[in-house]
This record gives sequence, C-alpha cells and structure tokens, in this order.
Amino acid sequence: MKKEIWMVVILVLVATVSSGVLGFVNVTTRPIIKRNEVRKLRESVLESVNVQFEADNLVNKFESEFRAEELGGKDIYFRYDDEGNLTGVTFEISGSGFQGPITAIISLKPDLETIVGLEILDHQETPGLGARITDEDFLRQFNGKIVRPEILVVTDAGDEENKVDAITGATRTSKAIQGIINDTLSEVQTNILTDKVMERFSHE
Amino acid sequence: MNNTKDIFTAGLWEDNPVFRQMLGLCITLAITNKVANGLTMGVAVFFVLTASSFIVSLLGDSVPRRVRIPVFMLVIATFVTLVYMFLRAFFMPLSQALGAYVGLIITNCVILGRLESFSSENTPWDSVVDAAGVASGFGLALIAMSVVRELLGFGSLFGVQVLGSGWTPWVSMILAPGGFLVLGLLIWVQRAISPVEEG
Amino acid sequence: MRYISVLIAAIFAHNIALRYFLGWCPLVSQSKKLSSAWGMGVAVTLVMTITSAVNWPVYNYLLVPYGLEYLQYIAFIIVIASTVQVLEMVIERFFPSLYTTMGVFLPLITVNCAILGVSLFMILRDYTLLTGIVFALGSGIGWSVAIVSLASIREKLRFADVPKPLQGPGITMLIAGIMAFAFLGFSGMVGIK
Repeated sequence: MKKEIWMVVILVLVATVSSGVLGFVNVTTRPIIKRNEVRKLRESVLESVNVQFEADNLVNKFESEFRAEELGGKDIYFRYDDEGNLTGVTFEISGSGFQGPITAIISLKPDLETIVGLEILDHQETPGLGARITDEDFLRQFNGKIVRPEILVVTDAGDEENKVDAITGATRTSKAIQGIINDTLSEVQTNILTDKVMERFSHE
Repeated sequence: MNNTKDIFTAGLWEDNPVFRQMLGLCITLAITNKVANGLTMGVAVFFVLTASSFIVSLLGDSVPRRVRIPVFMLVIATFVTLVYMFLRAFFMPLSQALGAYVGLIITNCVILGRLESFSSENTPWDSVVDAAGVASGFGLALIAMSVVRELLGFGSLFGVQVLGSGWTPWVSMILAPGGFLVLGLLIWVQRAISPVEEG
Repeated sequence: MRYISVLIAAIFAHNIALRYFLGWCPLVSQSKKLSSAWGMGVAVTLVMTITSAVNWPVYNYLLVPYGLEYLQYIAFIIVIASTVQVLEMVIERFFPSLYTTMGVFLPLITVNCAILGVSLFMILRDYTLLTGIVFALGSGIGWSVAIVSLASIREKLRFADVPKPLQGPGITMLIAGIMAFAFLGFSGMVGIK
C-alpha cells in the first residue's frame, strides 16, 4: 500500500511542478505574444496595400496611413489620398481552413470588389502543403483580381479577372481561402459597409 | 561506454535514431518537405531531449517503476509546451509552419526511448552528452530528408530557387509518398555505407 | 450522413498513417507478422476512441473555461497514459485470454503519436464531441488498415530477393510510399469537415 501512495505522490508532485512552471512562463510570454499579434496585424495591413515601413516607424506609418473605425464590432481601416478622397478599405477576414481557423487581412478599392492585397495572419494548415498560403507567390496573385460575382481558386486560372491558381497538393486549403474571401465580403457588404456607410466615409 | 566522444558519435551515426532504430518517424516524415521546417524541428527536439534527459537523470531511482512512463511523459510535455510558447512568442512564422506537429514531439519515441534506456540509469553529464548525440543524429536525418525533398519538390533550398525556372517540381516529393520513398532510400544509403552487423 | 462521411474520410482519404504520417514507430516494428499487426490495430483503435472521448470534455470543460489551454499537452498525455494503464488492468482481470494476445501491445500505445495526434487534430478542427469520437474511430480503423496491409505485403516479401542494406525498415518505407500513392487516389472523395 505504501508503494501505491508513493506512486500517486510522485505523479501529483511532478504534475504540480510542471503546471507551475508552465503557468509562470505563460504569464511572462503572453504579453509578448499579444504584442506580436498587434504588430503582425499592423504589418499585414500595411503590406496588403504595399506600403514600405521600417521596424521603428511601424506605429507612425500605420497611424498616418489609416483611419481605424469600429463598425458592427469589426475594425475597419480606411485609407485616404492627399485630397481626402477614400482610396481603399482594409479589414480582417476569417473562417475555417482545412485543419483549423484561418485569419487574413484583405484590402479592397472603394468599390469593395477589386482586391488590392491579401495577407495571412494566422493558420494551422499542414506544413509545406496548405501552409504555403503564406507564400508571396500565392498571395500576390490576388492583387487586382475582382470579386465579381465571386473569386475562384482553381487549378488552371489563366488570365481571368476573378480566378487565381490553387496551391498544388493543397486543394482544400485553397478552396477554404476562396470560401473565406467570398463569404466575408458578401457579409461585410450587406451588414457593415453598406452603400450608406461607404457614402459617409467616402470623404475625410 | 564512458567515453564522452563515443557516446556522442554513437547517437549521431552508428545508432542513428531514424536510420538505425526507426524511431521518431512521424516527425521525420511529416515536416521535412522544407529545409527551414526540418531545421526548426531539429533544434526543438534537441532542446527537449537534452533538457528532459538532464531532469530525468537527476530523478534517477526515486521514480517507482509503474509510474515511470507517465512521469517521463510529463517532463517531456512540459518542455514541449515551453518550446511551443517560445516559438509563438519569438518565431511566429516558424510556429505557424509546424502547426500541430510541435505537440507531437511529446510522443516522439526517440525521446522517451533515451530517457528509459539511458538517462534514468546514468549520470547527468553522460545523459546530456548522449541526448545531444542522439538529437544531433535526429537533426541530421531531418536535414538530409528535407534537402532532398525541397530540392526536388520545389527546386529550392531554404526557399531560395536553386534549380532554375526550367525545373519541373516533382509534386509527389512534397506529398506523403515522397516522404516514405526518400526515407526508404536514405536508409538504404546509410546502411550501405556502414552495414548492420549480424547479431 | 455527416458522421458517415467523416468516418470514411478518416479511414481512406485522410488516413492518419498514410496522409499524416502518424504512428509510424509501431507500424514499422509490429508489421513483421500479420497476427501482431491485427492485435496492434485493435488495441490502437480502442485506445484512440476512448481517449478522444475523454480528452474532448477535459479540454472543453476543464481547460477552456479557466483559460488553461496551454496545459492541453500535459492534460492529454495524462489521460492517455492513465487510460492505457486502466485498460491494461481491466483486460488482465476480466479477459485473461485477450490479455495474453493483446496485453503486450498496450504499453507501446502511450507513445504512439497517432493517439495524441487524433486528440490534437480533433481540437484544432473544432469537432463536436460526437464527430470527434467518430473521427477517432475512423482514424483507428484507418491505422489498422495500414498496418494490416503492410504486414500482409511484408509476409509475402520474405521470398523476394531484396538487397541487404534495404532489407527490413528500408523496403518497408518503399512499400509505404507506394501505398501512400494508392491512398492519394482517395483524396477529394470525401471531406473531413
């Protein structure tokens, strides 16, 4: 009997120590992870409209380029030219990928149909296969494409203005991206960035 | 086996965990279609293996036989979670590239195997040397696999195109079958260079 | 219908061994003989289904409400190790004949990455409890299909003239590669979601 008790004591002891260590490390790394997420968001927003920035002027650049508004519980970033005319709209899109959730940043022209740029924020796709959605070669294809009636990620896209090439060997992840773009866009257009809202924000 | 150098090189080559002992195959097969992923995983396993070897060699005989495996698994799981948090905090793109496979280091039988058969019965110094050798052997296998697969499957190394635009990528190399075939062929090469002794 | 498609997908198109490379250490070491392949397959399917049925509520009701998701690896490993321990004792006590054939495989299962992998994938993919269990059952069957086919091929191979350095693990990997090609043919048939 004494042996059994010793067994349980050892197990509980090891489990307690390891949970304690992990709890401590979690508390120390969480703010860093949080800060990285904010930085990654700003970088992705800037990259999606192809604005150059340095690590030390990220915050300034971000604040001078964009005007952030919370509409319908969603952060929307508006961009204006020197005369105060609206030149673009940027927001986060998300949905389920093949393995887990995918979140991305999409920038559109004020027509809400022409894609200016796409950047992936987070995903859990298969290493080397679906994970290649973060590759520049894949993402750059979206620039200038038009979501009308919807964007299609297909095997052989050709030059059509609403089609891009899928990732070889990762058809499902590619289709997931297609679904996320189309679904979020139509959702945002009907519920948040309606014609009336766009009218209100069209001039600064 | 008390000589530090012998302990180290045994793990690296003659008893290579992947080519000789056929351990840790899930990770070896799954994440080796890009060299950067293989290298990160190699470093992560190196850290987890040496750190948990050290702890287990300190615990030594105080762990009762029946709960040895659960206790060892707990130690490993703790270090793996640390690696996961560390990657998430400082190397986000790499953490994203490895996905769920970071968690699977826990069940990497290379690690539990070393803890069971070596660290629990040897001094901390020998255990750490042994762990470093075995982990380096594991890393060697990961890098060898990923160099072949990335080169043929993408025509690149570390994401840099080296085979030129005329190269037609062998898509099957980055998919599951390529992993098995390359590993099979590398085992062949390794065993041809230093044959398995009859026993 | 949804459950059937997840089940079929987990067995064929998304076979845990041949698509996700999980559980390969026992796949190589236990596929020399067909009889041990069967024993291992049954044991893995059983443990996989039970552990994911336990891990799902542990994650969603014990860890998530308290923000302890970072303890998931530790929690899952404790569940898996204790399930294996309890199962071993139960089988030894009540099914002694089964214990003599299957008992030796059970301790090996704690370190089978397919078991932990299935629990992790289930959480990542945001399955409901029932879908998770069906997915685990399908993955277990899929894993058994892989190990039994592999063992059958290896038994036939005894009469083949394989170069010496390639014998054993080497040729096993090449067979697995060809099997993986065959299983690629299932992809696109049914989705995992």
